Amino acid sequence: MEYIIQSLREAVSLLFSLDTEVISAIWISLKVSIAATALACAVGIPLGLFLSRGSSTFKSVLITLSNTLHAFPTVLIGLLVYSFICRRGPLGQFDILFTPTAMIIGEAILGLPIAISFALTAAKTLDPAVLETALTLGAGRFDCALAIINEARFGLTAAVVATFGRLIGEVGVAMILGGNIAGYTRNITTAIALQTSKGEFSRAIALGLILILVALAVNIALRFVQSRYEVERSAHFIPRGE
Amino acid sequence: MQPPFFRLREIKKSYGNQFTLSVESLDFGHGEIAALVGPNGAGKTTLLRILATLLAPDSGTLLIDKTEARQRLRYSQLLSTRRRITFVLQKPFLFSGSVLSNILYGLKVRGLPRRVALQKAQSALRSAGVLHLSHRNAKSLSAGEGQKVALARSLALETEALLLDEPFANVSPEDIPPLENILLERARSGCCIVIASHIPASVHRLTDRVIYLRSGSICEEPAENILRGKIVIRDGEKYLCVADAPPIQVVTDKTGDVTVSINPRDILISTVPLLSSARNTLKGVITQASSEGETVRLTVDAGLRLTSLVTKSSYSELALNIGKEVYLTFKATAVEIL
Repeated sequence: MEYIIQSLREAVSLLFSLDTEVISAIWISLKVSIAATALACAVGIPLGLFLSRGSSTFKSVLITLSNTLHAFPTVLIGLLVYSFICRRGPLGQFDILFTPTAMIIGEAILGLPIAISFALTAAKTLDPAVLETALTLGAGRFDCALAIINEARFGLTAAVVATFGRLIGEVGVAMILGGNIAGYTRNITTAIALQTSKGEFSRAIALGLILILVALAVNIALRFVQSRYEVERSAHFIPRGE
Repeated sequence: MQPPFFRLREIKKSYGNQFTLSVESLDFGHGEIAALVGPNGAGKTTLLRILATLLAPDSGTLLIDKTEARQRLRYSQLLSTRRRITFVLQKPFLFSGSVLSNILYGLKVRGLPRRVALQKAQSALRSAGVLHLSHRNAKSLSAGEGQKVALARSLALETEALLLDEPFANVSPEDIPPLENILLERARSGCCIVIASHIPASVHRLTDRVIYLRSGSICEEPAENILRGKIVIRDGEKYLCVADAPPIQVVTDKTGDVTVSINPRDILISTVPLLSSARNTLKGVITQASSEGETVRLTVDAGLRLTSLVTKSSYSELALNIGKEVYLTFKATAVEIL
C-alpha cells in the first residue's frame, strides 16, 4: 500500500516537472489519435448513415463485417497492417513502417467499426419523419443529408467521442506499427508499457494519470463545442422585435 | 378548361397482404379543396403520401400538372415537381432550433434571399397566429402549437398544392376557424388543397367535395353505425343480435357472425312510437348532438349506440335535445351486411 501511495506522489511531481519525454509522448498520443479519429469518422460516419437507409444483402454483410471488426484484437489489426506496409509487403515501397503515419492508419482501421456502429445507431433511432419533412419542404439530396446530420448530431458526436476514447488508450497497434521509438512514435500508452516492464511503476502510473487527464481535456473540449453549437442553433436567424 | 393539378389513374399500393389502396380515377383541381374522410387505416395517409411523391405506387399513373411523377424521373425534375407541393404530416416533425428557423427551412433550400425569406416567414407565422412563438425552441411547443407551426411552415412556401393530414387534430376548437379561413383564401388564389380527416364533421366548413375511403377504396358514403353480431333465426325471421342489445330484424342470406352498417339517413327519429311498415323500432336517449351544415347528427343510446341525421328544422320542431327520450325506426333492409 505504502508503495502505491509513493508512486502516486512521484506521479504528481512528474506531472508538473514538464519532462521532455512526457511532453513528447502526450503530443504523439494526441496527434495520432486525433488524426486517426478524424480519418475513421470521415469514412465511418457517412458509411454508417448509408448503411442505415433501407436494407439489402450487401448492406447486411457490411454491417456484420463491421460488427466483427469490433472483436478484432488490436495486435491482430497491427499485424495485418504490418504485413501490408513492411518492406516485403505490397505497400512496402512507401516506407511508412514505424512512423506516426503507420500508427494513424492502423488506429483508423481500429476506430472505423466504432464510428460506423455509432452513426448507424444514431441514424436508425432518428425519427423517419426528419427525411420526409425535409423532402416535403423541397429539400434536395444535400439538404436532406444536412438535415439528418443536424438532427442526429448528438449521436454523431457520440461516435467521435467513442472513437477517440478507444484510440487514445490503444496500445497494440501503436506498439507494432510505431515501434515505440522515443520522441518519434512513443506515445503515452507505449511509454506506460515500457516503464512497467522496466519496473518504473511510479512513472508508469504518472503516465496513466496523464492519459486520463488528456482524455478528459479532449472530451471537455468536444462537449464545449457541442453546447456552443446548441446555443448558436437556437439563436440562429432570430431578428429581434417584429 | 384547365387540367387538374393531380390526376390519379389506376393507382394501386399494397402493404403485404393486409392492405391495398386502390384508386381507379381521381382528380384534384387548381383552387379546389377536397377532403379525404375515412376511419383510421382507410388509406388516407397512403394516398396523401403518393400525391406528395413520398411513396411510389405499385402501379398506375400520377400526373402532376400534366407531368408524370415517377421515381424514374430525372432527379432535378422530381425535385422541381416536389417543390410545387407541400405535405403537413399528421404528427408534424419540427427541426431542432427555433420556430423561425423551421419556417425558413423550405425557403432556404429554395435559395431565396434571406430578406425575402424572412418576410415570407413572418407573414406565414402571423397568418397562422403563431408569430409570438418565433423565437421559441421548436422542441418546446405543445402539440397544438407544433401543428400550427408546421402549417405555417408549409404556407410560407406558397406552393401550388397543399396536402394536410389531420391538420387540426390537436388544435383547440377556437383556433380552427381562422386556420380554415387561411385555407379558403389559399384555395381562392388557386392552391389545390387535399385534407385528410377521420371526422367527417371537421371538413364541412372547408369543402363540399368529400371523398370517403374505406379499407383502401373510394366509397359512396362512409360506413356508419357499424355493428358486429350474430344472425339468429326466430319464427322464420332473421335477427341480428349484438351482445345484450335488443335484436334487430335484418334481410340477409348470411348466417353466423356478421358486420353490418346502417346509413344514419335511414334511421328516423320520433318522439312517439311510429306505426309503419318498418320492422325495427328502438327506444333510446339522445347522448350527443352536433351540427353539420343544414343537418344535425344525433347519437342515440338504445342499448346500441346509433347515429342518425335529421334536418335542423326537424331538430327544433321535435324539440330534440341531449337527454331526450326518442324512438329510432328503420327498415330491415336498411341494415347493410358488409
